[in-house]
Amino acid sequence: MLDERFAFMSLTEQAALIRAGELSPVALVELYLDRIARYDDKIKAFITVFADSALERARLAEQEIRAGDYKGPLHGIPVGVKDQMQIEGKRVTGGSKIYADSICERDATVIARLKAAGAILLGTLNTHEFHMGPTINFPYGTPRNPWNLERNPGGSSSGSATSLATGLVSAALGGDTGGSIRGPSTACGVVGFKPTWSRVSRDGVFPLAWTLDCVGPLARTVEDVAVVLQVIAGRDPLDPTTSSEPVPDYSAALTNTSLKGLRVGVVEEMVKDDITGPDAIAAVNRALEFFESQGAVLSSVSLPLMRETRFISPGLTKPEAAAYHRRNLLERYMDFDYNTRVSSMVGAILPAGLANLAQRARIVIGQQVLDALQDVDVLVGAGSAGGAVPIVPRPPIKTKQEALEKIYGVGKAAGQYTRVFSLAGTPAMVVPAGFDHEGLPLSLHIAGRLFDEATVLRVGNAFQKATDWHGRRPPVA
Amino acid sequence: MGTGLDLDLEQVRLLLKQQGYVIPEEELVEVTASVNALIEGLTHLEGYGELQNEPWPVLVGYLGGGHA
Repeated sequence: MLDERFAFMSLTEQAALIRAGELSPVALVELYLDRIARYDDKIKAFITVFADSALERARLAEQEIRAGDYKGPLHGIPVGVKDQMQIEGKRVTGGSKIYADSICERDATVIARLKAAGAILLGTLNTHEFHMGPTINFPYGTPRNPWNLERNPGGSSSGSATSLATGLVSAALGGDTGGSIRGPSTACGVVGFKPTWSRVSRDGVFPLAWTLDCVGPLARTVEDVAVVLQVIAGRDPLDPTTSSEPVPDYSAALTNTSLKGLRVGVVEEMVKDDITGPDAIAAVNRALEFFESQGAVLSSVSLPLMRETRFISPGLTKPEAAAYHRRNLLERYMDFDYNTRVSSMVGAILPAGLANLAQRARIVIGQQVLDALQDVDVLVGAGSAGGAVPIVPRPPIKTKQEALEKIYGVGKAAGQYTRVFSLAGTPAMVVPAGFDHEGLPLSLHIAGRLFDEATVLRVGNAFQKATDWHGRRPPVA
Repeated sequence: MGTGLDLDLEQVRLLLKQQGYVIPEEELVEVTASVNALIEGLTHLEGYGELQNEPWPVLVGYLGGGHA
């Protein structure tokens, strides 16, 4: 069996060794399968593990590479995908009992692209039901945070983040509608990237809300995220909403590590101490000091509607989800999780005039973000209020006031930091930026202009190269 | 919109039934609380004058297939 350090090695380092014939894809898959067997019972990152097909694909990759047919940096690399994307011949459930026995007839475009690049699919990763969250009873086990098993790993792409943090995969795909990649990435101390809306195909991907859904990569480093994004980004004839905006060479963009003259807008609402804790603020301040030391120019930016995203986002997602799941809600209501049922019912009866108002508000806040990005190259702030919150039972809500506090409250929810860039459609990434006083991960949130993923990646990479937060391992692993 | 009135349990039950949904009583309580909270929060947004700007695009900055 390979040394455990290979499990936490970056994808980019693994790829270089695989290409040189110094690391066997079969041995790497065997290492991850062994670790999954040892650790996954604690964190419940996987819904289904593809042990046999992964080993088969690894053997094939090894033969191809030996024969000189190297397909690129994902060739022979084991990845996990959120249980949201169709995989031919495999069970994909959307994290729901509804599709517990559903076998896919074909690959989603992002899966087909991963396979064509030579990636090895290790399995599907745990998620909140239909990516809605917060799921109350997870049908495939409650995902737990490897930094503290009593803490919430975030969601909905819970397994994508926990599997990476625990060293069970080299990279993962997740889905992000209001923060479902960035929230768990922050909570688990990995890099999570939401591309520009329409940059990556959603063909064959279970939706939460088509007007907001994005598929994106999670990895242990920004370089790795760039490699995966390169493969999945770009126009897809099977998804008419994908953009034909050219896809640049993301890895090449990372070679420029200079931040001299970079204009960094610090979003006031993402560092205000009314909801952001001192540890998270300190983490951002350390990052800002680094940017300044590298010649970047800092300025303060306000996004006045940001706090209202707690209403705007559900005003869009709940009706969309209710419409998508209507047939199953009518026929198999009690097979859904409690929270999915209640959220969907709210979406089903929300007055159309207010759903429309939410759409208009989305445009206004989106424009606030784009206007802010006229004067700066990137926007930054905290990725969360603080470290991961405890896993606690969630009793039914009985009054409007309770709902205003617990469902739509400003509170500590990661969504307060992530939804704004989902509504704006801009690319956004979280990068590990420290730990709180309890030893739980914190992140720096970086957002950029529409289709300018390259700048977001470049800034995140420069920051990550100067820090070692991403190199630490959680106690469970 | 904007009356400050809340829907009561029976009104929510009827709205759901109109769409073919009959749900457990405990869930009806939470749906009622949640929809009233969301209505209140969204109604509050009417105070932002900018929302009256017209016309507005479907999505900010979207460059669809064939446009770029």
